[in-house]
Amino acid sequence: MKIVSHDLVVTDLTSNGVRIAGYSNSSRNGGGQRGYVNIRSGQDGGGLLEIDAGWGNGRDGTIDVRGENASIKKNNKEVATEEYVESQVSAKQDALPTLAGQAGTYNIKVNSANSSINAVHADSANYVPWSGVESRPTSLSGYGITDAATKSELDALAAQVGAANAKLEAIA
Amino acid sequence: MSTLAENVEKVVSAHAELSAAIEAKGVDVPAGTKLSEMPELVE
Repeated sequence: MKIVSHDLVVTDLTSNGVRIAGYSNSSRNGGGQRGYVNIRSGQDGGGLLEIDAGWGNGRDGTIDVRGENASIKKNNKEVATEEYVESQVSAKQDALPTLAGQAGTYNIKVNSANSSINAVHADSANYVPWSGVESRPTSLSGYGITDAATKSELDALAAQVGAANAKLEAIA
Repeated sequence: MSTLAENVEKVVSAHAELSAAIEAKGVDVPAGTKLSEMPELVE
């Protein structure tokens, strides 16, 4: 095919578009030939492969690279797939050190309301506003205080003192 | 050591016994006389 115009536009398609297939013949050395599309511009022009999915729902523009060594590259460097990125992130997470038993100072800030940190051993806390302390106890036992009189014990003692004072008031 | 309630009871008993002792001496002790009012009854 000889292109005589600057634009080659296929407008008469009635099926799924253009297929470019390499020649394959098992009887020949090398097996097959590549299906090859080279988009190359003139100086300063820029090459562009545009997949226009058209209009309407469910018309995804897709580049599907298949094969055992399939890859998409930018400047000869492979573009990472979502699956690859997730696997790498997962591996990094698994490799994070466990703080238990390791010396050092760790500054951790969790902003997510759905996350939490349980400090098994905290040497100090630079600043924790009282309003930021949730689930505050409301009883002595809740604070773990065992050497103070309880409200019921104080009430009983006050009742005894009141009764004794009433008796003394009558005779003294 | 006695409790507060026990000590109060001792004072109440002593008040009653003191009142009876004063009356035994022939001095009228009006009902409701308090400890602080008894010294003048024995003077």
